[in-house]
Amino acid sequence: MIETSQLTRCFGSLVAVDDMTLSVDSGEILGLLGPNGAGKTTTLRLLATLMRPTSGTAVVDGHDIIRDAEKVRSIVGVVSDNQALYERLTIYENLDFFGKMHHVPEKERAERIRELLVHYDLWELRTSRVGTLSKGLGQRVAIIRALVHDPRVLLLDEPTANLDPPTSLKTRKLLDYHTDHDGKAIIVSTHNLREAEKLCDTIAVMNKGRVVAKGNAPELIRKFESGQAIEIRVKGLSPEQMHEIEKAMHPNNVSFKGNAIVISVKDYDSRATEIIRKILELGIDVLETHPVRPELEDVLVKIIGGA
Amino acid sequence: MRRDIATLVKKDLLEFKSNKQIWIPVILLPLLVSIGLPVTVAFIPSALNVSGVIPEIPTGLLRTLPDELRLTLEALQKREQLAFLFIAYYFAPTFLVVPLAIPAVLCADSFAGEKERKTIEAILATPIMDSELLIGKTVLPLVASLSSSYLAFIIYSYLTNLLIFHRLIFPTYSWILIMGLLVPALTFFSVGTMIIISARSKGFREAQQIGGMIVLPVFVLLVTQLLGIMSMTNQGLMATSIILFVLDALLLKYGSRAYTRDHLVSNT
Repeated sequence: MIETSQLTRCFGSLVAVDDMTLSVDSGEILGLLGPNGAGKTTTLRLLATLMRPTSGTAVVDGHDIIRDAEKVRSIVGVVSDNQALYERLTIYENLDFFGKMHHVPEKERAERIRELLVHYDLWELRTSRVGTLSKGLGQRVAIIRALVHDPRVLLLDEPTANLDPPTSLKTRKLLDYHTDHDGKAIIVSTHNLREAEKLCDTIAVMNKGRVVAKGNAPELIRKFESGQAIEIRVKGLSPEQMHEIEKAMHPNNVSFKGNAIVISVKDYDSRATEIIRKILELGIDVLETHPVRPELEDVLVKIIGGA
Repeated sequence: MRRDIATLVKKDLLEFKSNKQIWIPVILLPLLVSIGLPVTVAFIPSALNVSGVIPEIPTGLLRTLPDELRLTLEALQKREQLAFLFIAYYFAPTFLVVPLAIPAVLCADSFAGEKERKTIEAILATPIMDSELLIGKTVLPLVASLSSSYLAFIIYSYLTNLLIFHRLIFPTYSWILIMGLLVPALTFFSVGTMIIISARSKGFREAQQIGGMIVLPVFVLLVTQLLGIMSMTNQGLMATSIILFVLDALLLKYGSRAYTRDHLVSNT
C-alpha cells in the first residue's frame, strides 16, 4: 500500500529524511518512533505530498507522490502535529469544509460526519466553535477531519496527544477497526511508547533521518534487550546484607531501590527460583517478587543512544 | 476546479464574518472616506460661520493644476471652486487608500493568518492544486476591495452632488479613469504584494505591519499634490495604471512561485 524508495529530503545542509526505504501493507499500522528531529514529521509530510522529496520517491496505493500528488492527497487522511482547525468556525463547519474539499458528496458527507461525531461523543457539540473547545476535544475533531473522506491511508502525527485515556482507547479501537475491516494502511508518529506497543503492527525507529531499526515490539525487544531482571521487595536490608547479596550475585547485576533488590538475569524463567532461594538463605524476609521485563523505552534508548 | 475555489471562498467568507478585527476596518474605511470627506466639505464652511465669505483659489496654485481641471474650475461658480478642487482633486489620493488597505488586511489574515494558525497545512493535505489555492485565497480580498471601492465611490459621488453642488457635476473624467483603471490596478498590486509578504512572514500581525506600508505612496502623492510638486493629469493616471498592471502581472507571477505547498509547509 505504501512503499518508499530511497526517500530523501534535505533542508539546506540538513538531511531530514535520509535514504528511507520501507513499506506498509494494507491493514497494517506502522509506528514511527524516534527523538525530536528524527525526521518523523517530514516523512509524513512527504507521504502526504505536502513536500517534495529531494531525491527518491514513494508510492501510495499505486500512486507516485511526485507524479500523482493530487490523487495521493485524495486517498490520504492526515492528522498533523497541530490540530489545524478553524477556531472561529463550528465543529460541523470545519468538518463540512474539509469534506467538501475532498469532494465527498453532500449526502454521504452529512452521514459520515454525523457517524463520526456520534462515535467521538461530539454530536451535541457540533455547533460549538472550535476555539471554545479543550485541546482534547479539538484533537478529536482533528482525527474526525482526517477520516471524513474515508481515506485508504492515514498519516497520523501524534494523534492521541492531548486525549484522555478513554478517548485514546477509543481512537486506538477505531484505528484497529479501520485496518481490520477496511484494510487501511496507517502510519503513526508517536512519542507514546505504550501506545505504539499496543497499536502498531510494525515499529520503525528513526534517528537523524534514517530508519535504524524495524520490527514489531517483541522482536525489537528481543533483538536489542537480551536481559531481564527480578525485583524482590524485602522487609528491610542492613549494609551487611546488601554486601552479601552483591557478593553472591556479582555487583554489576545488582541494584537497590529502597527496600527492593533488582537483580539482572539473562534467563528469568530458569534463574528466578534460585535467586529467591539465595536471598532467603541470607536471612532476608522477602515480601514479594516480580519480573522486570525490558520495555520498548529501554530498546529505544539503547538504539538511539548507539545509533 | 471551480468547486474547490468556491468552497474555499465560502469558508473564507464565513471566517471573515465571524472576525470583527477584520470586517470592522473593511467596512469603516470606505464609509469614512465616502461619507466623511463630502460631508466635511459640505458642512465645515457653515460650521465655521464663513458662509458669507467666498474663498478663492490662489492664482499660484491654479497654475500648478492640470489643464483639464483648471478649465472645469473656471466654468464653475466662484463659491464652488474650492470645494470642487478638494472633492475632485485633493481627495483622490485619500480615496485610493481603500483599494490598497482592504486587500492588505484581508490578505494578511487569509494568507499569513492561515499559515500562523497552521490551518494552511490541513488545506494543503486536500486534493486542491496550488494554483486553485492561490486563486481561491485571492477572490475574497479582490471582490471585497473592488466592491467596497465602487460602493464608496457611488456614495461619495451621490453625497457630493447632493450636499455640495446640488446638481449632477461629479464624477469627472479623471475620476472615471481612477475608478476604471487605477483602482483595479491598485487592488491587484496590493493583493500581489501581500501574497509575497505573507509567504515570507511568520504571522498575521507581521504581514499586516509590513503590508500597512503599502499605503505610504498614496500619502506621498497627497502631500506632493498639496505642495504643487506633482499634479495628477489624465495622461499621468493612464500611464500609472498601465505601469501598475505590468507590475501586478509580475507580482502575481512571483507570488504564485512563493505560494507553493513545499514553500508554505517548509516555512511554517
